[in-house]
Amino acid sequence: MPTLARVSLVFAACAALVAVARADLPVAADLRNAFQQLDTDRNERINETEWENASFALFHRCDKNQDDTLELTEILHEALAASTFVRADENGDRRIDLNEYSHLRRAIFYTADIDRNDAIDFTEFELLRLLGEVGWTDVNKNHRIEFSELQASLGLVFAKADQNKDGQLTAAEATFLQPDTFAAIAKDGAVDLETLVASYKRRLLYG
Amino acid sequence: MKIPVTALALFSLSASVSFGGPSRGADPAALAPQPAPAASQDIFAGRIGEVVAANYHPLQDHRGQSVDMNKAYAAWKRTKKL
Repeated sequence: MPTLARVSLVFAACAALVAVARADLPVAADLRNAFQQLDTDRNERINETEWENASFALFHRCDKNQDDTLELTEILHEALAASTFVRADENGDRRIDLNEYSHLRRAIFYTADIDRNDAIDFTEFELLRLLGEVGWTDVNKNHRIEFSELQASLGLVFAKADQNKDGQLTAAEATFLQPDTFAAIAKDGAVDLETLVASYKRRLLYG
Repeated sequence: MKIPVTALALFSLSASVSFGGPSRGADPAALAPQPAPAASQDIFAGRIGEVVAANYHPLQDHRGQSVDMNKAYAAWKRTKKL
């Protein structure tokens, strides 16, 4: 292969990797839009009924052969999902039926409902999306996201967003934050990890 | 009414495309095509599903009565005329 072609190939591969890395964290506008699509009564909370209806719609979209179960081939695309699929497949028949699916979706709902008020507000939804990308360790195995666990995950979010690794997030880096949220917590045009964590705690506690 | 795919992409990767483009500081990498959302990302909530998939939550309504999810799904489909 000619040198120029090799260089072009490497460049293209690097560009693709950068694009994927940037795509890891959701951006503010998409988060707001996704939340509003689920919050059908527009009260700034996703309640259990709204969540269940959205889950049914998702199930229906994925169930390509309309047999009311999800097979491996209908939803699997990566190793992580394969591992989760096996855990969700309670009876081990290599398909997820509506009961298994609903167990999983309800488990996600109750985990996302950090303040335990039977609804997911925007802050909780934002965190669920962010932690869905960077992961979360349920240290005490209580199936709930505790502040200490949240802090660890937000550290990963921060590290992923902090492209120049200076320990500060500018507006261009903190693209997952709503612009008004960023403006409210930024000092000299940037946000550090401590401020970011404190901001989420405050929003969870006081709305 | 057909529900838009974006309404279903609960926890998917962002794959939206802006036709206007950034006004300045355009980064070619940011303009590269993004991967299509994977259904598994939507259903499993990314890495959250990995943690909670083994949790058991009883399928009950607010009164503590068991809910038949097959019937609930069938009812949902009827409301959507599917």
